[in-house]
Amino acid sequence: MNALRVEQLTITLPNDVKLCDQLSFTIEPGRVLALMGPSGSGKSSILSWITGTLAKEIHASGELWLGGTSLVGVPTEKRRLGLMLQQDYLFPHMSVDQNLKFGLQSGDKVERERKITESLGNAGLASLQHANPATLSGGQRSRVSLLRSLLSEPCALLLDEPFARLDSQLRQQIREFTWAACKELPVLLVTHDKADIPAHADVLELADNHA
Amino acid sequence: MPHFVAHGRVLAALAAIGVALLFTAPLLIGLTGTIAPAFGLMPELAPGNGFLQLLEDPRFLPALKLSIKTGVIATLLVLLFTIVALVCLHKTRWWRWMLAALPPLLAIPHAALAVGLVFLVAPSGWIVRLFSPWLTTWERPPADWVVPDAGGWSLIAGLVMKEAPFLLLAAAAQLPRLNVDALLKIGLTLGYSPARCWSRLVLPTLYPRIRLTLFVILAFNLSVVDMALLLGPGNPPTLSVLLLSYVHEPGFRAAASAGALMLAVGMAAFFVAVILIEKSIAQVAKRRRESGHRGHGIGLFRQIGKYSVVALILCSVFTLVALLLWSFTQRWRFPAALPDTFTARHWLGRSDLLLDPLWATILFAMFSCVATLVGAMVWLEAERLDAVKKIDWLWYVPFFIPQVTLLFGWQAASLITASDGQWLTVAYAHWVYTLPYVVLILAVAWRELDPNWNNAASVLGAGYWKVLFRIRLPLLIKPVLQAMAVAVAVSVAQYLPTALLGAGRHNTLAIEVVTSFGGVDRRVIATLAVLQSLLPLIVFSLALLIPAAMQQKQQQHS
Amino acid sequence: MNLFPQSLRKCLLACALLLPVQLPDAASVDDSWADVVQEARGQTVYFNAWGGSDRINAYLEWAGKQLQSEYGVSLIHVKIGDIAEVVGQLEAAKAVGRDTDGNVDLMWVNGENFAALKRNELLFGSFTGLLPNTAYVKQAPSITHDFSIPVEGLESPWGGAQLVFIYDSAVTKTPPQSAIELMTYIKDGGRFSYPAPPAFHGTTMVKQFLSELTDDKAALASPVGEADFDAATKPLWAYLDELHPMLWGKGKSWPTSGEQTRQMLDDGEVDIAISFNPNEAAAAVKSGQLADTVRTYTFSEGTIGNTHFVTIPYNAKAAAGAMVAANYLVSPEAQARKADPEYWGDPTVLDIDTVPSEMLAKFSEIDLGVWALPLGSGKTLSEPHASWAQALEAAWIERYGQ
Repeated sequence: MNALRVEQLTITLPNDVKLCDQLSFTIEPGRVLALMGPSGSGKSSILSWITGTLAKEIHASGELWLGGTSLVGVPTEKRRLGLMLQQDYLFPHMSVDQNLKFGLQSGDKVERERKITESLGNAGLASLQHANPATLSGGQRSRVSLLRSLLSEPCALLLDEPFARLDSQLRQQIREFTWAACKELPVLLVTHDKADIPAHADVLELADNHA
Repeated sequence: MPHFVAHGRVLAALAAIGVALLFTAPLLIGLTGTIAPAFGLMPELAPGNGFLQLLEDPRFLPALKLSIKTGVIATLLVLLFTIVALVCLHKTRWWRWMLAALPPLLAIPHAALAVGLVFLVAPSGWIVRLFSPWLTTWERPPADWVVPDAGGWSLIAGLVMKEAPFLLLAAAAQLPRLNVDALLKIGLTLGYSPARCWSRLVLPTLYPRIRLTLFVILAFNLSVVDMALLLGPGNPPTLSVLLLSYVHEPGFRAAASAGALMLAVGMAAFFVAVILIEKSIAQVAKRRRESGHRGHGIGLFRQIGKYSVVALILCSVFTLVALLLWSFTQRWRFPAALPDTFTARHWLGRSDLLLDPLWATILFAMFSCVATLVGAMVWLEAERLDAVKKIDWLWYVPFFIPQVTLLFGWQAASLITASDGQWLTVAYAHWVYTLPYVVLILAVAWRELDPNWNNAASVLGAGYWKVLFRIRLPLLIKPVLQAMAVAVAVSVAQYLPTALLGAGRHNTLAIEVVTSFGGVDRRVIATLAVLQSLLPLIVFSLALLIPAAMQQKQQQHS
Repeated sequence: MNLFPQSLRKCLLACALLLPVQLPDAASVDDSWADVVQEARGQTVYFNAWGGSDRINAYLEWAGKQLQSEYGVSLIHVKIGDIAEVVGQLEAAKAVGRDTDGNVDLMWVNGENFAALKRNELLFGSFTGLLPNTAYVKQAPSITHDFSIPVEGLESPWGGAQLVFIYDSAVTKTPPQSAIELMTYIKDGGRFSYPAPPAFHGTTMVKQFLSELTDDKAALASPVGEADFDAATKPLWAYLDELHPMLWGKGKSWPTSGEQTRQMLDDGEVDIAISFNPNEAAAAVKSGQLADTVRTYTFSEGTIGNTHFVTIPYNAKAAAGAMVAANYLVSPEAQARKADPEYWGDPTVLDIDTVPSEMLAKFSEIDLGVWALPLGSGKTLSEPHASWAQALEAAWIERYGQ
């Protein structure tokens, strides 16, 4: 596994406000970097820039490396990043296994089926293989969403307030599930809740840009 | 800019510009083909001075007056109907029922509605038959009125029945965004009567949002051809119909073009006039708002308003029932309330009479449906990728140029290029008239869909096309199917483009209903009109049922 | 393919030169006709014809099937509201120089539209001499002249027609027998109206009134330019001025066609329907569109009658196919079916005496019933010269069209 490296990232809004200026950080595999800061400080924009889905009117410059490969200019679908957002974005027109297959790399049919059954089993979701996402509970949806990301065999994982919408009892459970599931990846976590941050994480505080 | 994105965007931009050019080219060619003959610039095709020919025709001024009268009165009544329906029905148990009834009524083609209306309100029509002779003592139809009447009131009634649901639905769609319930509550607690709450609190914010629709309706009412042929007076007819007869009259193309041009200019003048009237009404309304008058809520008025709205809707439903009855009639003499003898032979006996036009109609409708969907998707995707700018006004252009103005010129061009009468020419015209609806309907959903759906799929490794077809389209299935249904409905209703560019070779149901109205067996016309109405009703039902069925299938799985 | 019309034209020219004196030599006709038939095979003929009657449409559907199976010609009926539209289309085509591969191969025409086509040289040429079935056609002035204009082989006769009136004998005991009686009948509460000119039935009705009322009957046979129009039509306008306020629609609304007056008769909105087909009532009763108490009649001094034709435009794409179709339409087989009210009910243009006896049976089988105009009744008045129609229409619109 390779480290995720951001160098000299500057993001400028159309009104010339700089969300971040010459920001650099590196996340080694197995490490978590928690990005913290007030809303509007640019946390989500940094994440969007890393996935290559930043809105066109926002200007950004900087370098992005995954190990020795530059990701700048690589289409989103070729970056091999896992992404979890506040909402789970389970595709409502696909069942749970179809959602997972959408994430899974192509290959041998039996092997793919096995991977899905196995991962759902490990996550305690075996009975929900053919379920309609609309019938799942919040915690189940979060887990399926994470599984979908992991099955796409990402080289890094980006989490944007992934636990914010869960109720407090579930939250701790999903946190543990998440950190256990992505032990070997570099993980970037955006949050405003200190309780989300695991013990092995580094923390990067962003300044308030609303001056 | 990353290279790959730039590359994709250039392609998207090129495709989108292609769509826009395909859309605007006939508009420009059509206008040129009308303007040039009007000013004597095409002497071979259109000899003579068109404006002089026009002014020399004793029918011109009466026809112009009639067009203005029917167009303006019908539009005012449509607006009145909408306001009355809002004030009198909103928050009553009728409201939801009405909102459910309106879309299918909106889907009934103009021609079918017009034919049905005649069957309903003529002196020997169904209404009189229902009440004769036991109530009216009429053994023979009364001679006191005729349909279509010389004053244009039948046409006005038809236009109101067709356009009122359109404006009312447009207005109803805006209500949730205006927070109407809160506005009404505040107004009522301040002591204003319900009607005053609407006129002083809701309408001032609602009107700007339905104004464009109202303008579209005014433009349509001033220039409509098919309904005017069926419901308008014949002698003289409305201006559009008179101009259409010129096109077919040897040596009168210059006059037709000049008239069509005047109609377009006159329409623009009307828009200016409406804007001025709006301004003065706004002034008055402002003063009234500040006056503090509370008004007395008059329950009777609300009751009258409520029942007149319901009556109008029932009238539309009854036109359909009248058509259906006639299509199964063998004999039905006045004053029997129902047919004396029924038969299914109009449906079964002469399949060529129904199947040929049905097939022609379906082919154009399917082409319009698929080709406009592709065109709209190309444009909206390019817009989403920031490859082209949003230019919603462009799609409104065909709504604001009278059909005769555009199509006379287009037909002249098709004569010169020998493309008249060809299937593709007619299909192209259907596409141009259908595309705006599809783009405008899809645009809302397309722009509002959370971009994170795209992003979530992309980071999982799905490329552009996979995201488009596996994620974006399925998520937007409802609006996509609705837009396709509207495309079918619009294409099925097209009369003038098919008639003018088709050189009589492409007899769709719309053409058959309009051209056979004067002569053919009433029962056959009814059958054609029912068939023409069924097509959009079927596709609208499918547009509702398919997503529901898909959802149910998924739920059964779980 | 492109060469053919040229060579055909020459051949036709030869025929046309011969025609006024005698029919061309049978052998040469047979030869060139065989060429035409061969050329026609596989062609698609666009036949622009009024499409306002579904029985006529059905008849053409049938004729198309026969043509397809017998000659390999596919006939497509292009349904037209008013054939004047097609004249306009052809003028426009000529104006823009579209002199070949036109949209129209065959068209149903007569009267002023034929006059306009002939005047503006929009016709293919004299072709009827080439058609074998022309041999059976009646040699009557109403067939050699179309509204007083010499036909000269430019159009092929298709059917006869006469203005007739249909009434319900259960409602109306003694229908009016002249324009004057009609006025009295309406004054006494009778219900009547006629389509507004330039609708065909309306124009014909106005011509009928004029023929009865004018003091200068001789003027009607010559071009309108040679007559004192105002003097000749003065009694007509006086009559109409008085008549119109008493009509259905009070002279402000008008039926759009003769067929509509038939529907109005059945609804009881009028007492008398106008038709140009002596057998229309019979067909309408059989199909359930009129009560079986209806009867057909003409005014006692006669009503306007004429012949309708088919012709080929100058830029027809499938001229050979069009000739084969025109020939088939005057065949005894097609004419017998056309005369049968079951299918159409239009008087034939054939001279029954010349029709081969095996074909004659089909004509004698036709049952007109009591509803049609009784055979032999109904004096025919000739159409005024074609130029009158337009002048009358313009004057009518000027007076009553606003």
